Amino acid sequence: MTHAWHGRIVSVLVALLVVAPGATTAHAYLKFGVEVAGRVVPVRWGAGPIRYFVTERDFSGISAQAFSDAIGRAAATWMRTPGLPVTFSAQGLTRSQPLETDGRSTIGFLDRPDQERVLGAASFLLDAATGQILESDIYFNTRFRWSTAAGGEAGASDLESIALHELGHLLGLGHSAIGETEVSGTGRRVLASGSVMFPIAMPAGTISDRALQADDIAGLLDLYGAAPAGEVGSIQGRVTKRERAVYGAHVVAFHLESGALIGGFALGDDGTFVIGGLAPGAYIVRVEPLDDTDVESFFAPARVDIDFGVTFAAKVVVVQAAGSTAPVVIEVRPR
Amino acid sequence: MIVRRPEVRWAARLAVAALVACAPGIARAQSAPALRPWRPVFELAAGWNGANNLGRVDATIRGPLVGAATAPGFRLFTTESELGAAPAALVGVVLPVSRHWAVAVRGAAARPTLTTRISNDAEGAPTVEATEEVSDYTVDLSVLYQLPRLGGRRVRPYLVAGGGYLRQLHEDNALVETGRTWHGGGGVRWWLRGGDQAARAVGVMGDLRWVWRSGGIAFTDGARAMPAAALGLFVGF
Repeated sequence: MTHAWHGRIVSVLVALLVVAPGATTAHAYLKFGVEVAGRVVPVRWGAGPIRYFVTERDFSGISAQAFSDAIGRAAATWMRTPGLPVTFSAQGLTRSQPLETDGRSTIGFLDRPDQERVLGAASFLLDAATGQILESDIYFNTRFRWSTAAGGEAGASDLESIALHELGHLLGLGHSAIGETEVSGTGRRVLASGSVMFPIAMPAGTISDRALQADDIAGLLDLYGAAPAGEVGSIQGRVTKRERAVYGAHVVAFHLESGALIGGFALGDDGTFVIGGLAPGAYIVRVEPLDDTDVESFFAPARVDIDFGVTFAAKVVVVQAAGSTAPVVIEVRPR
Repeated sequence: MIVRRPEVRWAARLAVAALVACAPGIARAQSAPALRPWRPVFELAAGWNGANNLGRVDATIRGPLVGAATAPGFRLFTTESELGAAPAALVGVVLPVSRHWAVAVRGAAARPTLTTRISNDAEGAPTVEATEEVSDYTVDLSVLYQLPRLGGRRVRPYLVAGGGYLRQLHEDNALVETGRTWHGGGGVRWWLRGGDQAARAVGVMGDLRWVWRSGGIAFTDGARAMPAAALGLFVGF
């Protein structure tokens, strides 16, 4: 089997979780996409279990078994998303290393001195014909101190939290931008994040990101079309400035009943956006520029328009189950 | 020969009732009014529903969790929502079970505006209001107690309490939300025509209620209160 799909590999994507990049204050989950036969399709797994191996290497007091258990807990957290058509299946320990193209999805520690600010990363091998993921490896950088302690450990990054983030990438999710940071030394410190897929990790010693948030779940439901029929809907619309399309604007939907924050980006050539996986109900829609973040954590920055102020939709936007709203047009003003 | 159709005669009687309303001296000459057991009274009224505070909800981003202690979240912005006061149309049926007690069913429809005020934006966006039109329907079942005469012989106060079903549709009927209502209050009936022995009675009614709602369009838990008033005509058979 392995030799058969090597010829169909079209690209290798790497998604990184960093500890101190540029500022980020934005909102959205983001899906990876790949062009297949002239159209962009989402990067995701086909139906069936996602088989993964864990490296047998102990590291810094964390045994292979403790490591495997932490990965298993993170996988189980994602699998609790109702209706998801894919599952994780642990295949045991392996001597293989992450990032080896061997047809196996391998998760383990890796020494990456060249990535001094990267806690971990996920890589993909994709099928050119379908865009489906064939293999995805995850590494955790041994340049950092890690912990699997139940309550976290001061000064150590929580393996389960970071695994939850990387497994989100492995499933096909990109970065979310719901979060607030502040300048700390030469980098930034996260004050709050609204998604485990936020590209900057919570401070060492914290365990908040062991639990998914609404933005993560909405992203996964949208990516896999997994919500039971009639349980979620979507908001669609356009962001314009002087009646021209705005590219790269962050659009966040705030569910008034649950307090959930779920977002998307205006990435259509005409400034269009779609935010899927939304529970029915009334939403406030907020648009903001991606002006204080590392745009490259999300997508190619060349065309991103940041010359406008935060703007709210004039109407309360109502999402119905199994449907999309009428287009919500939000006209923003130049700063 | 001129043949009068029944609805024409009925219109004429309403006109007479209006005249009677303008001539209380004539009305007082008639017999004292009362509820007549098992003889229904129909109501048609214009109403007013007071504003309904739907609560304040902050858009908050989760803070770091260290051990069992969670840092406070980051507030992105604040919302405060209200279903505005609105006129309503009401129809009802009162079925007396004795001269003092009755059960009543009332339906009401209104079109209030849901307004959400958005403020305290973390990036300094100006305070704005987002709105939508809501279709608001209620069906209430009440127990009504008619008190002895008040003031003039033809005016009778009553107390009312009960509960019912709330159905609210967001703008363009995009989504239906249901809930419950409870109410308590009182009002008066002023018989313009008819009385205890009359086969048909016509009058004016008005009441003021305090209404509690749960469910429906709401963004916080718990019941919320609002006043409601009605003024209209009743016809008893």
